[in-house]
Amino acid sequence: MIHNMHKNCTAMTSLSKLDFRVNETWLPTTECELIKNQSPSIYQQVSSKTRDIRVEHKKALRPEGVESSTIKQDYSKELSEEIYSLFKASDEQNFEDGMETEFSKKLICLIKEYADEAIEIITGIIIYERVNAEVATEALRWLGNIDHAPSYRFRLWLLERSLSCSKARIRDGAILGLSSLNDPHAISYLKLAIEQEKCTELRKDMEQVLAQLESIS
Amino acid sequence: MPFLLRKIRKNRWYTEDVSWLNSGELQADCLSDMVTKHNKLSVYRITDDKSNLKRVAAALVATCTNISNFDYFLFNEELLQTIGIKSEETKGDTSDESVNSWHIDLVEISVAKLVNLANTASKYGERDRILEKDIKKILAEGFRNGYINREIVKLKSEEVEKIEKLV
Repeated sequence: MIHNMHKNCTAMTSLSKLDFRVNETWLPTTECELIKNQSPSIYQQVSSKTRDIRVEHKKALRPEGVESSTIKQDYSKELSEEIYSLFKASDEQNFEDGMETEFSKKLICLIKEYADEAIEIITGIIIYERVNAEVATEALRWLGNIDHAPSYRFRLWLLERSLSCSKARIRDGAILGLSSLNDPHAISYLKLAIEQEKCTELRKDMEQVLAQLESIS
Repeated sequence: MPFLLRKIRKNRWYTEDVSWLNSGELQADCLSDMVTKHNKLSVYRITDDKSNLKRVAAALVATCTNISNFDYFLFNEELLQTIGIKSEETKGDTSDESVNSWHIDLVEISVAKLVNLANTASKYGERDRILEKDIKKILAEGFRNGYINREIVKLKSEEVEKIEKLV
């Protein structure tokens, strides 16, 4: 099955080269570094007191000198186009909780194939809110649901970071993803998000997830 | 008076933190949760004490491909009279026969009535969420007690395996 998924991913890559052309300037090469330097977020406020899990993650999974920078940039550009096209193509889709879609299947496939490379691109799309909130929310829900250890810490980081997004619907997707991951690491981020949350209904939902995580820690 | 339940996505119903929305208005996207077929809207009857709510939630999640959280709104059945919406008791399509017997179709729904129902239910009803972790426990209970016929659930086999580990 995994083999077939990988084959599908390869096919998608080929298709995206032929069918999709997006503005190549949409994604800065060092986007994640820019994100970390933005105005104060929940991520920055909490991570100033804790370790930067993302930097650790990169050190652990991407040793220096494995790829030349030119090859890596070309590879990332193709993957960026493919992932961005996937998100844009799902703009009109009506998602339902618990229902797999072509979007979720392809998203999972890409993450399993490209791990942190894919998550880094998805991070740019979600944090900079380059797609509509419904698609971003759907992606965050599935990010918490994927059974894929190599991308785990980066997915956790993105879900925690997404608690700072400007749209309430995206923040809701983040808490559902965190609820699925069920990792007490998110507790401090959730507490801060609850303090800052202006939407009463969402705050209550955040408290529900916090209670779940506190019950296991 | 019993309640009527409709599965939704809660975040489509947020009214706070949506800067362009006027007071008392709903986001149009919430109508994605009110999709009719043949001018009918499918709902489930929930008892006054809500004792069958979790069972309905589990049965509806079991009609999906993956286990997930369950968002819903509940509104008092008597609101139907206020809005002028008719209802018919029809058999539901879940893997729990009792839940199927609690199914109701709201019928002859016009666009105006649908919007009125969304507004009224939002104003007087309640929205809530059961998290995925709790849904798993409720599904396991349904498997254990034989409420849910595991042969006809629509969940993927790996999802069924997750539940069977909890039984």
